[in-house]
Amino acid sequence: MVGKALRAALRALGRHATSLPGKVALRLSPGLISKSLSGLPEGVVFVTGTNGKTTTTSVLTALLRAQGLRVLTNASGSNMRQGIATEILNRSTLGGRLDADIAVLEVDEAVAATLAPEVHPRLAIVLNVHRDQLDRYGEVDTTAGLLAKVAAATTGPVIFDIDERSVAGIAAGLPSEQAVFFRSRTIPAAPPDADEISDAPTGGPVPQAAPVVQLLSHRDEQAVFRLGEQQVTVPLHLQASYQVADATAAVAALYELLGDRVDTEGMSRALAQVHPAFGRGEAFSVSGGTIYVVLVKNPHSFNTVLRQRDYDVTQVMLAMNSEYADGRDISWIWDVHMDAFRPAGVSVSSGGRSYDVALRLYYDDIPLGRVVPDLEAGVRAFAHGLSADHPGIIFCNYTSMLAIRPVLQRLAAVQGGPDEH
Amino acid sequence: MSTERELHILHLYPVEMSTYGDTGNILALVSRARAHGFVPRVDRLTADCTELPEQVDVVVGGGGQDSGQLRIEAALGRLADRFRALTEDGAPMLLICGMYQLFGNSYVTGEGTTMRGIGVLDVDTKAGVGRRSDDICVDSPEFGRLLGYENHSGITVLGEGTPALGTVVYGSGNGSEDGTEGARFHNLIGTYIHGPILPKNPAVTDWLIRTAAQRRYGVLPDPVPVPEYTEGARAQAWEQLVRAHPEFRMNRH
Ligand SMILES: [Zn+2]
Repeated sequence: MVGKALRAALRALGRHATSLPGKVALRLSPGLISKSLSGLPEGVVFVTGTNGKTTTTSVLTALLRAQGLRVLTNASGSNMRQGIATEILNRSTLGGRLDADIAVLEVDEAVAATLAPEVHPRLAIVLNVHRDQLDRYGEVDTTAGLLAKVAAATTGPVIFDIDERSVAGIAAGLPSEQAVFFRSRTIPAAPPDADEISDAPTGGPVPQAAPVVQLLSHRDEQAVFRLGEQQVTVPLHLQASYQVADATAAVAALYELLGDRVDTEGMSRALAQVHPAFGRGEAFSVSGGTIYVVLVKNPHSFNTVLRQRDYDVTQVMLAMNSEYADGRDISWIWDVHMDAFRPAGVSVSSGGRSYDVALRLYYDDIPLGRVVPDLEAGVRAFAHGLSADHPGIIFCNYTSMLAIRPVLQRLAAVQGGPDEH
Repeated sequence: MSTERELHILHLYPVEMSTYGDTGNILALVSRARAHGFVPRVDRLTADCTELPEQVDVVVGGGGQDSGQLRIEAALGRLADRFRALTEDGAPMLLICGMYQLFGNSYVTGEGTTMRGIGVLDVDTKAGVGRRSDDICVDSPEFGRLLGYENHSGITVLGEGTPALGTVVYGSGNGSEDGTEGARFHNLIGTYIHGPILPKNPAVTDWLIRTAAQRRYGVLPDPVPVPEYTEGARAQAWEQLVRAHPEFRMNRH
């Protein structure tokens, strides 16, 4: 194991939000993660899949904390081994013991496949397999194979969305008592899109099992869940259907972990605190009106937002980069059903791939106002042209979102000030 | 002669084989066919089709996963003679990635499975070690500079007498040591370039349309200006390539 003095030094470093301490610690003690986690009395939960890991992990963490458990979790963006090791260092005593009862870890698909056989999670949530950064992982089938390994290495229940075709094949490969389903759709599913079909070559038929946890209704920010036999009414401020699915996955995990011991008051308190994060529909008030920012990192997440009509898409800006963190391949924009934008057009296309997006719209006969490659100038142009009757929506991918945020914060601050114009 | 001159675009196996935005190629062909004064019609070939549509003017097939290729191997095999006849007859075809491989003699996957191609193109492909996923830039004697993205593990060897589509400026292309990318045979183009290829490389799109028009109607339509965003998209693709690969020197070519 790592020596006490070094551990203290690494912990001090770890507070500065870097994965360096984890990297150093793993070099010194390659088994650090499994050794540390094996001491947790309530075990380890893995959250994995292409979309929704961060939301699901944070909701489940909040739910478990409200039940009085001490939860070790990793911040979004540290879902590789080094990041997880860093979190472990931060939460361990000088003696090397973890100050936690249970771990809820968001784990990258490729990392999860090798880490699960070492850690033996007691429960796993396998969200979905979609085309995301194929340039990094190769093929969707490969990713599905990785997630099947995670499921096989899990000692207890593996939780799936019963309506998520892309993971149905993985669920079908498990013993029936181990595959546990939830349902968050309160209306019948729309027919699958072409992108879902080609996304899900490994997807099996719709499972025959009954969902253990089900969202019965969700309106006016009130959700009614069925947990086993009982019904629970709780606040739920998330709007986008994919986030509601993530929250339902977390509730299902809570129910599988605690069964009828779930304190529904605590559950209600925890869910009341869950709000959409930046890039997941966060709203900004600027002088021209309101701007929502929605992160769309692959055709599936983008098409889901468009199909579910989560937003009133009449004033739209598209902001697309193709940095490494976005996935270098921008081809996926052609698999997005942009025809949703045809009636009102797109106001601004911005970012390092703004002209690729412009061509995408041109070849699909969708009107486009302006191309402004610079993201700050693009946001300003969009905010300036906003009309107050409808909110503006910026659909952006990861690095363009990072560039847009400070600009919107400044514009919103000006709006809040006394001498706006 | 009818005033409505149709051009029939045949999309090969869109369900199994359109992984990397290849549907964009269809949108570009439809748009450019219209711009050249034709009425475009798109037919989709599915795995249960045992015949080709009556009129086929342009053929387009995209990339897929190994599993998708396996699912259409037999379906494509049944139509091998029809595609060979179309090729000999001068029909223009654009075959990308997985479909390029399957129009060749054979494709050996990473797991060692051998898929039989239809042998219209004299090329052979084997999965190499690792996956090549990166920007690609190719200089073609017919079409000039081509820009896009490649994502494949295939190493394709051209048969003697089968010329390449072009020479790799940056990227892997056919993946063999000779620095070639793609293949040409009659009016057939095989290539690893997606991104998708046609919207950003209208020289290829317009060649497909003009070649089809000449074959079907015996006239070569006049050139039509390309969409105004084309140059911007090509410039951004080049800029991204150079910035992501500082080791790549622009003065190499
Ligand atoms: Zn490809």
